[in-house]
Amino acid sequence: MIMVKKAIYMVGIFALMLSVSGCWDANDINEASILTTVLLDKQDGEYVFYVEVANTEASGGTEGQSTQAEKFVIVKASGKTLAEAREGLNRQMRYPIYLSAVRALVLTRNVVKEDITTYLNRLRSNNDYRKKVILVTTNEKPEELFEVFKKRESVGFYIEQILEQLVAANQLTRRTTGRYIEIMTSSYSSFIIPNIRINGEAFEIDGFSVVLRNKLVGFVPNAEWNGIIFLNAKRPEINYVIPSDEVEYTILVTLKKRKVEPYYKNGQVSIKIRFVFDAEIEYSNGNDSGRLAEKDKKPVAEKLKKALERDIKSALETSQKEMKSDYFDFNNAFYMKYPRQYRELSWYEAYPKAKLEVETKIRIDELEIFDYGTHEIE
Amino acid sequence: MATKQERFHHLVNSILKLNLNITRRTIPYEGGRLAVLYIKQLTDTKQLSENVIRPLVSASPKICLTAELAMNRFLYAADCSIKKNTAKIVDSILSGQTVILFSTDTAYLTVNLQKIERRTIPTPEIEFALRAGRDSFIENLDTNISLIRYRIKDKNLRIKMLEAGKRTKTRIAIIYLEDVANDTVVSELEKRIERIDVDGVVESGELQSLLLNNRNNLFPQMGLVERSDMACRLLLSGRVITLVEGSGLGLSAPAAFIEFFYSCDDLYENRFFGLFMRIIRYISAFTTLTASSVYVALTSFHTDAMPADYAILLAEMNSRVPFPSVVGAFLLEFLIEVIRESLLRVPRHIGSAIGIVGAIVIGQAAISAGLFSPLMLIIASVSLLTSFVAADYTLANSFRILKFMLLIITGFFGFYGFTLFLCLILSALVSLNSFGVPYMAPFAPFNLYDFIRGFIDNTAMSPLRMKYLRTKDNRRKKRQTKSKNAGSSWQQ
Repeated sequence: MIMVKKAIYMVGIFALMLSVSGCWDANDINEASILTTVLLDKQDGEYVFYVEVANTEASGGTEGQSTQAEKFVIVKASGKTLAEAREGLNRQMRYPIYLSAVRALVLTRNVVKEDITTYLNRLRSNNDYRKKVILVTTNEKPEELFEVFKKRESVGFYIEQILEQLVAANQLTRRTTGRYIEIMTSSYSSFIIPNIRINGEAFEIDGFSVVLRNKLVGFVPNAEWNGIIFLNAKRPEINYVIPSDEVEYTILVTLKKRKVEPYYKNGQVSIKIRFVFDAEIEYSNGNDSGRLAEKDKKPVAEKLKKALERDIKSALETSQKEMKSDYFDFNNAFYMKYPRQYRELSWYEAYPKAKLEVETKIRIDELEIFDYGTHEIE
Repeated sequence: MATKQERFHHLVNSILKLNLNITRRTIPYEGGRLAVLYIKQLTDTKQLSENVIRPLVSASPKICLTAELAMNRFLYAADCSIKKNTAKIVDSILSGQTVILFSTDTAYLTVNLQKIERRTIPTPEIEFALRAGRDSFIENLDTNISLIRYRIKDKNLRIKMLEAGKRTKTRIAIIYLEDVANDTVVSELEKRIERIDVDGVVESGELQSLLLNNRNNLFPQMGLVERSDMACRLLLSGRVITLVEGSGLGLSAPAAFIEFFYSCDDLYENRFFGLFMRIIRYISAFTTLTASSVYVALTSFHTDAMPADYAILLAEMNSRVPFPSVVGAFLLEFLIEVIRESLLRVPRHIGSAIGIVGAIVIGQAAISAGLFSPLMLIIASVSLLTSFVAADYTLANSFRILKFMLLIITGFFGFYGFTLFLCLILSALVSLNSFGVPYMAPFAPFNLYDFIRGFIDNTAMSPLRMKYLRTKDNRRKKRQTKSKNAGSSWQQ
């Protein structure tokens, strides 16, 4: 009787195995079209997909791999809708498309200018993509972008590596596609996407595309990078060069603490942002390199503070006045403190009118603390 | 009614008629004659001539000999006895005893003058250790027992001699420490040996399969012991050792899964090194079982679990391989098993040649010919190497079979099948027992103290024996009581 029971269990387990869908979808990795970069453009009213596909068979398998051989193939497909464009891609692929190796999604400004909701929703519903894949924008022509490495190196991998090393160096906030989708689906949708451009035989980030209500509203150039990362990166570190008399001090400024304090009074939103910076004298062009002369201490600290505030205020002004877009996520802090009021007001309207205050503290070499009080942006 | 003389002649003739190659030497004495019966190949003829035949011949012809008189007055043999059961005469001769029949006496003498060709004590071949005694068991049971006896001089060491095999009448020794070993295990072992009803038992492996409570079981339930020092260590831990005449390998019982990963080195080396090596062995066993299957699951089903750049590299490597991953993995594993088996069966000097051919054929040519992916080759080689790491090869054998089953199931169902099959193996393991001891002890049922002693710490240093063995005496060393006057001798 026990044996019969065991046999029934075994048959049951195997029947379950057989009936569970997705168990028969074995597909060897060498029989897949491995995509590493996906670029979406809009040309003449049509969506155009450019995909970089790993050319695994041309590399010669195990032996005789030539460094001159094209390791990637660019496939282009267009359609009036995203689905149509994707169908066009499918029709050109030798093997089923494998999306898990996609390292970068590149959107041209033409696409972002319109509405990226559809595309982000498409990514949201497609489980084949890793949600950690990075998203960038570009203003370059797709053909030129994919010709930078003569198809010997992956564009997607390169872009990802640029962003990863910037994140590792605390120069950038990590934002994955998954995070963009999250923001897009929230009540207030605004974010910035790194923008890449061709620089000789490489790429560089030349600024950020600002997206509000899932549409491109502007472009923030690199000049505002410092302010942006002080406002939204975790622990940014930036070098500032501060002159004092004839000596120029190179100072490494590290953000130690950032506190966003929203207030709501008489229908007015105000946000106080407190910063605590650590500043370390790296070197100078003076004789006593690395040491801050006694007479320079106060002027250097004042100048450094001014430089920091200038950068932060500039970034805030661009965000608030020019772009009217809260891509620093102040809305989250406000919502946490005033959830009922947040639901009642429209952050799209409230943010541009909000009072923003910046308070900074700088600790130079941990010897002295300078406190210069609160300043209000006009 | 037959006279004693007639009965004597009839008995001798009937024994000789059996054509068992028995040699007879007849010596007359006053009022009768005696017959010395022995098998030349099993007897020390020099001792027989000097210590048995010579004194009997030179005895006064006027003395009428009896078995008792001959034994007490004339024989110089150390091991001899008087017997009356004539039905056992042939058995005694076949076991190497010399039998002396007297025409004037119904009793007869058996003299032990066995001389069996034996090897000298060899170094271990399957249980190699860097830091341990070099003496290991041989095919001679008495020698093997002597190796244990000279290490354990305890009066509680018990050696129960049993016999198995109707034709071979193989002697089997059950060795244990009376005040330590669990009685249930000893009696169960004894019972199972007595129950054996086969024509012959010639090796301990044969006995092992006859002792199993479930013959369809894949996992070994008795440990193999080749080294006498390890046998002593096992006896001290409360286990029972079974030695079989004609076998150089002993069996230890009960044996839990965890014990198959012990090596003598673990006991003799630093405790941390022992732990490190045990972890290596566990990982190796798991690698043996799963390496190829994980490769198949990753390359055929769950490719997104791989880093993207490696996925591309793997696709490049596999692009020339004509088979799906599962077929490639299966073929390569099969080929490696063939080479392993052929290396075991051929003479050693040819073995190295086969090894080279195997390495070239599989390693270089097969990849150049596009038959296998280089990664698959690495994985199969690693799987082969890790299979040798287990301290007891019998467990590795089970894993080798399971590896193929796991590979097939993973080939059909990916990680889903992989996980399911591992669960099946685990549930099979936890449902096993070895002579009443849970096979997966101390993991299941979990016992923290045994786990620390058996898995993390060095058992040689532990003051207690394993609880799961349920030994009579759980303590290996006496509890040390702290003296109140500790250190007072310095003050005095």
